[in-house]
Amino acid sequence: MREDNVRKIWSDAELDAALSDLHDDVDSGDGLAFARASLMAAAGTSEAPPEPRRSGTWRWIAVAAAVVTLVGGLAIVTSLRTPPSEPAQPAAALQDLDRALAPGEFHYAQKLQWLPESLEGQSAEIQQKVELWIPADPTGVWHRRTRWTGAVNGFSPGEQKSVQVNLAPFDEYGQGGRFPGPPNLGGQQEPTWNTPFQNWLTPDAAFIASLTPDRGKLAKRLNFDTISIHDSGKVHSPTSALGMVRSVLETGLVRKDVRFALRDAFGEISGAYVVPGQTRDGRAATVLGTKDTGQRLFLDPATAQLLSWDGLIPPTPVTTSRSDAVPLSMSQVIPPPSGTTGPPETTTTTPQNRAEPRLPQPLETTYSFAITRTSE
Amino acid sequence: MIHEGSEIWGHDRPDLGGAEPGPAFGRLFDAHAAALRRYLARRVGAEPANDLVAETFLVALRRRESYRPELGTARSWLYGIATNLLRHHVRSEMRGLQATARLARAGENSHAGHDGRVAEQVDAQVRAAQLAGALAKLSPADRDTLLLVSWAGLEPAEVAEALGIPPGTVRSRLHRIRRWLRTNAPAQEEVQDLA
Repeated sequence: MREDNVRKIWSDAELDAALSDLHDDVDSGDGLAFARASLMAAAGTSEAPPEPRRSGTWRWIAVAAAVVTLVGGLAIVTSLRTPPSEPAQPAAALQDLDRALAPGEFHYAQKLQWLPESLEGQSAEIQQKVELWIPADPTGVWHRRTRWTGAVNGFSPGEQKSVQVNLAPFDEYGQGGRFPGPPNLGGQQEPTWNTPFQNWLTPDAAFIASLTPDRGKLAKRLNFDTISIHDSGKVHSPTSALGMVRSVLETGLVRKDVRFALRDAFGEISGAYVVPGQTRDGRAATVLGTKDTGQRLFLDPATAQLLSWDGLIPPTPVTTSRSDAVPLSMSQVIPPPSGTTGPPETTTTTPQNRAEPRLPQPLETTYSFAITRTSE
Repeated sequence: MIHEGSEIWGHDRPDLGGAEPGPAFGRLFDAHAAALRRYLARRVGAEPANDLVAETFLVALRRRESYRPELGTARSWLYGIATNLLRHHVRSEMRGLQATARLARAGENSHAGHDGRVAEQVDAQVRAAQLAGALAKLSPADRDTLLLVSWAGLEPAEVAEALGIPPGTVRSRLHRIRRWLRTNAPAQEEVQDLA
């Protein structure tokens, strides 16, 4: 035992901080629609059952906190604007992204996604932008910025007047891609795991550098690599494998030959397929799909860079805060990663008019990549 | 007390015993499933959490006649059911805590060469790892009590309703657990097989 630990006692604040950080890397989950349908069927209420979903991803998603507020049915409008039209870059422009970066340049990756929000029974999709800057030397400090764009989809004009969007950016920095949040389990081994823990879902510079363009080896890794502390040795579902591929490609840092190898390796997964197709906006694409959940990832055929993903990000209902307490939980108040400060929290009260909750609909996430000379 | 047919949104003690429980349980699910799933995922992992959420609500539906609004909120009732179901996943939870706890020593050796910001991150990771080791040494009842407050956000009175123990017992138990953790968690370096 170390000497400086002999008499160390935590303060209440230190204990609370540790409790807040521990296992805070849970994904938002995509199994609730099926659970709800099962409940409704058991209750004798017929609803269209969704596709069975098995994700298995244990994914750290950094999300800006405190974004949307429904204010007691009152009309408080700020910064509501039409959804920005920021399509991914045309395929031709992606060709140049594999050149070696000069000192001072950055790999830039942008993700635009729609996150379902259920606010006391009212469902809507809120657009979020996640930007990532990776320096020419990827072992340097990465910068990730998350913010809501202000675009809201799914509310009637009257309902939109009760939506308030906090546009404050949420910045995180991580040496070599290790951002604040869950402990880095990379390389750890447990008796029940097939392999040492691999950072597929929280890829950093070291993990991406470890990927080699060996199709067979990658296929085996997509099936059996340990990606969750709760892995029990079973083969990953196709949707989990797709999440692994997507997660590393989202960084924009994966070498071209590895990207193509990942594409081909995914095609060898049982329950997965790779076919030619096109994105929703009509661009030619290589489609990586899963038969268990129907999720699809669209890659540029010429570069295997990520174009879009039509998977489902489920809603997270909001709990109404009580007047005498800090808000208990709100979908917008997803706790920021440890060691950082997110945008200010807001309170939520019950809206006066409620619509029936909707089952989540597939939403498209789009990606674009570039090389920049600044990290913001 | 909310009577049949009345609006339950915003109320925490709905009438669940009606002849047609579907709508009430649909609203109950929408109000609590996501938070419950997050709590369970932090304890046993994502996929078991999905199954546990489904099972919790199915058990609640089957036992809806046993829900007594005057004795507690629907939320605490649901978390009580989930807590009972978690008993079947103790080994999985312990494996997760042990895996995290093993990071304590690795993290403590990784300060060298980092600037202050990164060092703070490492400190936070080490602290979480140390806490994991300490949590693994708590009894299941103590762990339930602490995490229902810290992770699920239940008030001590709701924890009492969920666990079927007096509120005073919850408060004294919390005080004892927190004092023990503050003293013992920082010393969690030697990780043993705790399962």
